[in-house]
Amino acid sequence: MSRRELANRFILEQLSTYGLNGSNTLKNPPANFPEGHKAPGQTFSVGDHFKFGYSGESFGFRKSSTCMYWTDYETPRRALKPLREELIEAAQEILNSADDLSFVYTGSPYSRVLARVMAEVSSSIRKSVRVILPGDDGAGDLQKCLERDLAQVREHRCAFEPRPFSWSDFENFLDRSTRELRAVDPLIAFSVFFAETGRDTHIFEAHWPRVADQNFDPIQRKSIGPVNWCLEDRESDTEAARHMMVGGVAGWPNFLLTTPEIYPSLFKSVLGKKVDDVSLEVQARALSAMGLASESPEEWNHLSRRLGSYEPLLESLSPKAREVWLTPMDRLMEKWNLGALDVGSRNTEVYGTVF
Amino acid sequence: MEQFSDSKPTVQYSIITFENWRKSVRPMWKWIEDYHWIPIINNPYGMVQYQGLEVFERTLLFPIAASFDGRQVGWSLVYNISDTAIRVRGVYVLPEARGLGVGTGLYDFALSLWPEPWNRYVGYYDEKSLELFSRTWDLKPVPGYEWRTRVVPGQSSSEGKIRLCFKEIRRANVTS
Repeated sequence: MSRRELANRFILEQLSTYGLNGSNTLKNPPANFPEGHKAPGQTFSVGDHFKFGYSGESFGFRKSSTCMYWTDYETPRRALKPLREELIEAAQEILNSADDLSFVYTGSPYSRVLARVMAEVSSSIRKSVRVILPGDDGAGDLQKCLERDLAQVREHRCAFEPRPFSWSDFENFLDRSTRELRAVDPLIAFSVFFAETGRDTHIFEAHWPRVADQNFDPIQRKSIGPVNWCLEDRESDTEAARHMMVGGVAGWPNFLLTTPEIYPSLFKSVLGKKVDDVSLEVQARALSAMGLASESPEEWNHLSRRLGSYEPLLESLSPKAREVWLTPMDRLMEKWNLGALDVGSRNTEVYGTVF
Repeated sequence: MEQFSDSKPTVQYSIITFENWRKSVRPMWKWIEDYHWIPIINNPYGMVQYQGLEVFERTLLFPIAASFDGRQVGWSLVYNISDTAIRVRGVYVLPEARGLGVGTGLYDFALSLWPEPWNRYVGYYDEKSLELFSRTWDLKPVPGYEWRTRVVPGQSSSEGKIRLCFKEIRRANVTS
């Protein structure tokens, strides 16, 4: 019997009793977290290629204290195109999916790439998109930043919609949404705050993929072993999808996860290169692919600081909703038929093989 | 509390329920106020090699206990991080049962639960434990890995240095 067959046989024999969901394992009281369900036909990405959930259930809510948050990525459907083309194709998918679309422009690198690509595609597809421009006394003029980002786009169908708001209204919203969703990510909550007041299909604010070398010691500020890149998916990253489930509304929780080709294309752009920070590097390459300057506007820096100041409050209101799921990049890159992210020994030598 | 120093009692090792294990090892999780929040497994520094649903389809975990005369005095938990490697997650022995080989016994029992092709154990150790188990249990530091700062979840301060170690699992040759 081969090693693979031996492993499969042992797992099969023991799983119903000693698996993570086995009878010997799960005896947990309810977490009293809110629950919702994915409505029939509701999707969060093309073909729901990106999956997330708890303890092996897809697109669910946290049911008990020890539910394990997880994510999964599918293989690309076809050969990868250059990053710019993948972003444009994703925008086409979104624009073809609904008539009334909106997103919030915050000046973040994510929203700048989104605005630029939507502007370019809106003209060719002849569909308009509402771009919400949040305004308060301190946020400055985001419209000028947006105009600068779209200056090279000859024609577009983006309708700018300045939206005054007060931080006290946002704080009230945070209090409510934390109870409803166990929301802990102020940036995503900010996007949900503006999405709630409209009836459009909303493209929510999201984070760039976070890739961290698990063998970098941040206290000693040095590598303690061969590089071990892992994709870090936070439970809070999918808050917008849970908001959509609770409200039964359509939307796109993360533009960068629209198609199964964008993430592989992002990582392909840094393949085999010696980089210190993969997350920042893929972000820079996406900005560059869309012809955008790498510097963030001061308006975003201000907004980001203000939103960041809510993190301790949200964590205290909703403890234990911050689980992080690590996926070894070695395995993900293999699944996507890409090479190693970095030169170095593979982690299978230390942590073993998956057959 | 009963002491075990008069004569060396017979230790028995067994698989217990996760609930039993979690309640028993609660003193090791000082930063968790309710034992129900002790996670089923954890993935320190990206050890787990499964991706997506594989982790639910392929991970097995065996919570184990050491008992003297039917009374549990030590606990541990072992699970696979891949199809060929396992991790033992903490060994906790009651103070009155320490120094009797219970910890090493728990490790040996944990490893004995795994057949081929699981042939490697990996785990992080502090200096004192590495010194002890390299002497008594053939534990070795993984080549190419240095000491790293141990960071406890939920704690702002770091707690000393730890190092990635391994032990090859050797089984008796059963072929005739």
